[in-house]
Amino acid sequence: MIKYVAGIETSCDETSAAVTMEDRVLSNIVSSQEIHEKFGGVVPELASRAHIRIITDIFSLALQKAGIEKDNLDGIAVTHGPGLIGAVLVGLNFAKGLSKALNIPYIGINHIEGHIYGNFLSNPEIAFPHLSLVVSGGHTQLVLMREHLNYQIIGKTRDDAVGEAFDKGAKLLGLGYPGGPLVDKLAQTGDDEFHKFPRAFLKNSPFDFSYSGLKTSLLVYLGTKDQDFIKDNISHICASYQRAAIDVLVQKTLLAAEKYKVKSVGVVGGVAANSLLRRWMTEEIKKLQMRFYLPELEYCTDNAAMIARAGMERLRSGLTSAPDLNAYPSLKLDTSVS
Amino acid sequence: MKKKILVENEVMDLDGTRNFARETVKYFHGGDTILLYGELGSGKTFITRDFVALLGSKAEVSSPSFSLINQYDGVPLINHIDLYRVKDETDLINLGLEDLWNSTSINFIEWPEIIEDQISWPHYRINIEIDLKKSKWRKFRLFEFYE
Repeated sequence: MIKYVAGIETSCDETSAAVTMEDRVLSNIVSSQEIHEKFGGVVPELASRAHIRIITDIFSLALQKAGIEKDNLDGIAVTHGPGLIGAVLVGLNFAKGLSKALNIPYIGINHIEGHIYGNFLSNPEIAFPHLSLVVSGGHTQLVLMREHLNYQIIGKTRDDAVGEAFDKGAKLLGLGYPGGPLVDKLAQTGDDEFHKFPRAFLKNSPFDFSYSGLKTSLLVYLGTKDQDFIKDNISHICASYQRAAIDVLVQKTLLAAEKYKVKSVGVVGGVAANSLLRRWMTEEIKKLQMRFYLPELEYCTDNAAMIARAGMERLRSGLTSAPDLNAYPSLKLDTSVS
Repeated sequence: MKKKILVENEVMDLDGTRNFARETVKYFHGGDTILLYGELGSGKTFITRDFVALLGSKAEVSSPSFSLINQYDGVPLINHIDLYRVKDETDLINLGLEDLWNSTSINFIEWPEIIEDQISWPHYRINIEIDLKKSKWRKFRLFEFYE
């Protein structure tokens, strides 16, 4: 019986380890400035060498906080893609070592699958068919699930992810990083019809996204204005830009929800924290008389608890990964190997 | 390093961009590194998509700004690198790009300013100029850097 599962996530900037019991989270440690300082004053860095330095400590902290010994673990779940290859390998090899040492099974999890299961941590009652909009700095996808562990990607971005459109838009506007929360905040007091930015609806691909045109249109728009104008109207520009970015997400999600006659819709990933997206989607999904679910903020950003939750689902279906499982930088969700 | 301009094109639309890609792709072979210069929104990822397709890979090209390195299957293998988020030398060292230099892959690098001084061997650079008054207009220049 799979009861205690450890999750390991190192696919991008964050090093994270978690312990779950059934579908409850006992601990979920995500590397932060504080943790980096505690373990040797290292500044958070991109990529693999930073993960190597702290993964053992993060894992020990996760066990300690969960109040269990590593011998109590029944299985390990680890992200094996998509992500930065060197970074993913750190977590994967750590998990393989643990699996061997503790003589318990381990399972490779797709990072996107993890994000979707983060929603199940917050909302265990989610009913199928379920449609997930996965939105983050690196991903923009619509994923249909007819049952657990069954995925069909019905739409994805052709170029930039929506989170990237926010970050780079913020950069063009002279705001800081990360851009999403800053644009969101300024947009609160702005007029979202101040300027009409383009919405990309692609011919023949009703569920695919494209955000590079929106970014370029902001660049061109700002090029026609002087600095004072931009400064005076920054909240209006943010509101208009955000509206355009979110509009496409909402319209396509609604269209897909109706077409595939789903029972429930979820929004997951870092951009699920966007206030306009949350509010707008909640209202619209209600009109369709479907249930709408959002993960708690802790499970929106990259974290290992969501990986552990997805791992429990796989391990309980009898799936485990072989010792030679590899890391894949652009691992596709529906071809996730076990 | 000496530099020599190989191709210079002013284009009015996306078809023009495609033509520039078609005209320049013949220079790129396994082991080559191409640095892509141009401001946000100038179309560095866009033209890389054309190059990847022209080089015979069927991979889907998306922005590597978040993932830092995308790898596309094909012969040769194509690495699509984006150093936009790489802020300093430590980040760069952590990324371990030196593994790529002696490989047989073709490396396209967006936002290469932080690494350009370290690339002391022959390579190519593409400059994309944009004019904010003319939204689809671009000026492309391909340079060869050699010893």
